[in-house]
Amino acid sequence: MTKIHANPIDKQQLEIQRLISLKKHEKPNSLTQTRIFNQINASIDALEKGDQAESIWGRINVFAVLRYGLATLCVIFLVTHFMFLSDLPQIKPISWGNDYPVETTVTVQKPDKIETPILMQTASNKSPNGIQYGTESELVGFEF
Amino acid sequence: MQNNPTDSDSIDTQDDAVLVKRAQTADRVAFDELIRRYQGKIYGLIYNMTSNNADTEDLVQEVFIKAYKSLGRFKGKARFYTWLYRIGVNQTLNFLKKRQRRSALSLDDIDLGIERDPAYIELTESKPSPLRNTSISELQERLNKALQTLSEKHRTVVVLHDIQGLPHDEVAKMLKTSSGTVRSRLFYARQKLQAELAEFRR
Repeated sequence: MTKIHANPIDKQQLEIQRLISLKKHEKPNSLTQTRIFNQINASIDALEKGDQAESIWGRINVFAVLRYGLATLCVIFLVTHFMFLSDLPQIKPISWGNDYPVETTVTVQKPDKIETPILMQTASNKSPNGIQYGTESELVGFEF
Repeated sequence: MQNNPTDSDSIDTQDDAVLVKRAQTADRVAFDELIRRYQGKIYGLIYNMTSNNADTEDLVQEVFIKAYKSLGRFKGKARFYTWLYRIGVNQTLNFLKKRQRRSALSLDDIDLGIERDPAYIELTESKPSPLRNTSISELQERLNKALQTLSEKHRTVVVLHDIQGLPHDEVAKMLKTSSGTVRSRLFYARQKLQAELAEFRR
């Protein structure tokens, strides 16, 4: 009868397997286990409460609708602009009323009387048309 | 073998199936029982892949919450723990892809049953064993570090088969690969571990 000897490589493999298997004795302590258990339960509770409170409208993701809506509009705009409008003859821009520059007629009325500055009216001598002018001496100190 | 999955796991599949059916009808007590039953195993699975307690706690929660949400889609074709493990492995692998490896090795409790483990006895009973002179916490730290040197694929198969004790076929199903690939990955992973843990070899 032939005796089968274990392959030395297999023996080494088995040895390492046994050594590494000792790690199965590493366990979370009871405190850690309890903490994890409670945390899982709290998360599931929150999950269930959230599900109950969620109405049909709550299930619709508003942001997703907006995002896809905007994306669709952008695609429609780009397709229309580049594939459809580019084939048409040049269209003048829409005119919103009078084009710039605007021509206007301004009527300026000639004033009946030109008012003289008050300072000038304090002068002692008068001109032939009745307007008083200051003397030279009174005007000293003013810069013209 | 010291770590035969069918021997070491006292999983009563019939009970699991009943609990799952009840949990599918929003029976929280049944789901709580499932959490209690698998929390430790899922913790071990994730901890050995991440080597970080804080990350592990977060991931364990995520796994059970995902399982609760998806329970309606569980048809019972696979066993519940296989399904749960698959969620755990996928969540952890996704997490590891996103995360830069942090070497925050925080040690948790060691089950004192390690000293009665046949593998431990066999590895320490020989005359001048290097393992005998090593404290359990030091050994744990060395094993953790060695495990973290493996690639994610290799680490996953080692954790699932050598530590969690799942058979090759089960691991293959979980990772959606062939049994041969699992064996091959195990072989290369152990070779790498041999080099890392050379000092513990007799």
